[in-house]
This record gives sequence, C-alpha cells and structure tokens, in this order.
Amino acid sequence: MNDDLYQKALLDLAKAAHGAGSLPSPDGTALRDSPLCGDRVRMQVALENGRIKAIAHEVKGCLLCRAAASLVGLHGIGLDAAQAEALRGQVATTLAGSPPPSGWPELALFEPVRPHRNRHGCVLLPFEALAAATHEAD
Amino acid sequence: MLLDGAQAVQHGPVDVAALGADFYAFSGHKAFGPTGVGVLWGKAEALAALPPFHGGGGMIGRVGVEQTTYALPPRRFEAGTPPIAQAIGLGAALDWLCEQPWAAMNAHTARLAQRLIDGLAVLPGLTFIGPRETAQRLPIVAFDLAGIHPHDACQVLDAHGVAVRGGHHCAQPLMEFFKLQGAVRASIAPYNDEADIDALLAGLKDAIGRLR
Repeated sequence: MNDDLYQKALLDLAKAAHGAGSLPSPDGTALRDSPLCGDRVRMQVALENGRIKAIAHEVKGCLLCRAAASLVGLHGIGLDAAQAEALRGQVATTLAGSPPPSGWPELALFEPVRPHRNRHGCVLLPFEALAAATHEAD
Repeated sequence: MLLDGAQAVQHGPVDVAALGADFYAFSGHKAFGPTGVGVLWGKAEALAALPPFHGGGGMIGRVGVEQTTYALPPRRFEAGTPPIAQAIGLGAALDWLCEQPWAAMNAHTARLAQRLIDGLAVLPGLTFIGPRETAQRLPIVAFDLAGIHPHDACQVLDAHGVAVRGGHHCAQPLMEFFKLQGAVRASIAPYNDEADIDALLAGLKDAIGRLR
C-alpha cells in the first residue's frame, strides 16, 4: 500500500544520505539515468585490493532512489566487483519477493515497493551504478 | 515548424491556418480517444515535401525495378494495415468533442483551475510554472513542491485517488531552465468537479506533512 511506501525508517534512511558526496580520486565512476522518471545517480568508488574502500554518490531523484543510494553508502564498503554485480540481481529478486540478501536487512524497507513495478527502477538505479562503477574500477 | 497540440486541442477549436505552423500534431488519448493513434495535420506543400518514413501496403504510387514512386499525402505516411479500431474510436471522440458546448465546458474547467490555483497558492514551498490567472492559461496546472520529488508527490496523490502526471515530462531542457528536477502537472477535464480539486489539495497537504 502507498501508506507503507514512505515509512519513517525509509525517510530517515534517505535523509541520512550515507555516502553522499564525491571522492577526490575515484577508481571508478558510473552515471546512470532512468529515462522514464529522470532519476540520475553518479556513483564513485575507490578500491583497495579489489574491494571497495570508499563510496560516494550524488543523486537527483525520488525518495526511493535516495534511500537506496544511502543504503549503498551504508553497506557497500568491502564488496568486490563480482559481489557488487551479484548484489544488483539480489536487489531485483528482493523487489520481486525474495528475502533481502545477508548483510542488507534494510532492503526489507523496500518491500512495500513490490506491487509498484514502475518504482522498482528507482530502487535499483543506485545498485546498478554501484556495479558499473566497481566494474570500471576493477 | 511543428506545433505539439496534445495539451491544447481538447480545450477548444484550433484554427491551424491562423497559427501559422507547418504541422500540428496531437495524440488521441489526450482528446478522450484511444491510445496508439493521433493526428498530424500539415500544410499540403509541407506534407508533399516529406519522404515516407515507413514502408508497407497502401503507401506506394507504383513500384518498379528502376524506380518507385509514392502515394500522395496522407496515404504516403500510412503504410500497412492502419490501427482501424483506434482511428474509429478517435473519430467518435472528436465527434463528441465537436458537439460539446465549448464555452460552458471551458468556463467549468477554468473555474476548477482557479480553485486549484487558489488552493495551491497557500501551500508552503510551492512554485507555479506559468501564470496564475486562468485567463492566461489552459486548465493545466504544473507546479513544484520544494523538497518533494514529483514522483513521490504523485504516489501519495495516487493513494488519495488522484491521478496526475509527474516527472520531467520528457522536457529535460525546460526543467533545467526552471532549475527543477521535474514538476507535477494536473490536467483538468470537463468530467472533473470541485471534489476532485479538493482531493488533490488534500493529497498535497498529506505529501507535505509526510515527506518534507
């Protein structure tokens, strides 16, 4: 239901904007646009020994997109390129009804988005940008 | 010059000759007709100067090994089996529109637009796009709510039973000009009434209370 979509925990996550900003010397940068709704995410990562040691993102988008980007900033440190790529698919399956992947319990906040398929892209966009930026850096 | 009349044609007769455009286009579903069909009007000489954009039955003059000629407009642009059902539906919708008492219909929608504009004007952080006087605009009201993304506003409005358009409207350069991510656009039609406007305003107050 729409009433559940904007629960306080999700609003707080978006407001916290974990990882918002830019990196001085990123190893990988990806810009992703959602042509349907206009959301735009620029994701930057720095790697150490093949794993993400720093993340920064700039988001022009809706609350769902901003909350998802904040979640990437909260838990994305330590992933390697393969894990970042796998995460993108896991988020998609979570939106389709599977339980959230291990280490990402806050993805459950997006459960009410499930019936709103036109909003799935808003949640996925930061994860797609993370996978692309990490792939570029690897 | 091609003029997009999708937001205008359902609000009154259009004198395409007086507009001075070479082409005038609108989509069927914006004129209370079916989706997947629309209208392109063009000056005869402008249409004749255009090559076909699509091949198929019905658009040829004569096909030869050395040379192929094409039918005169409009058949030149109507290749293959046309969307027959949609065209008949659009014809019915336009016939219905043409039979309506435009003055009364537009007075009704202008009154509703003014009610909406007056209600919007007192909402905190709201920016109008376009003039506030209904005499200077059609009953289509676009606006931005500071700190609330248009899609989030639309989602909350949806829960209030109100359907509006939100986003960049495929006009990103215009949004950049206004320094906006997007806008919410309420289009008022003759079937709307005061309760619809009040539901929209109540939904926006709810969005402001919950999302800002």
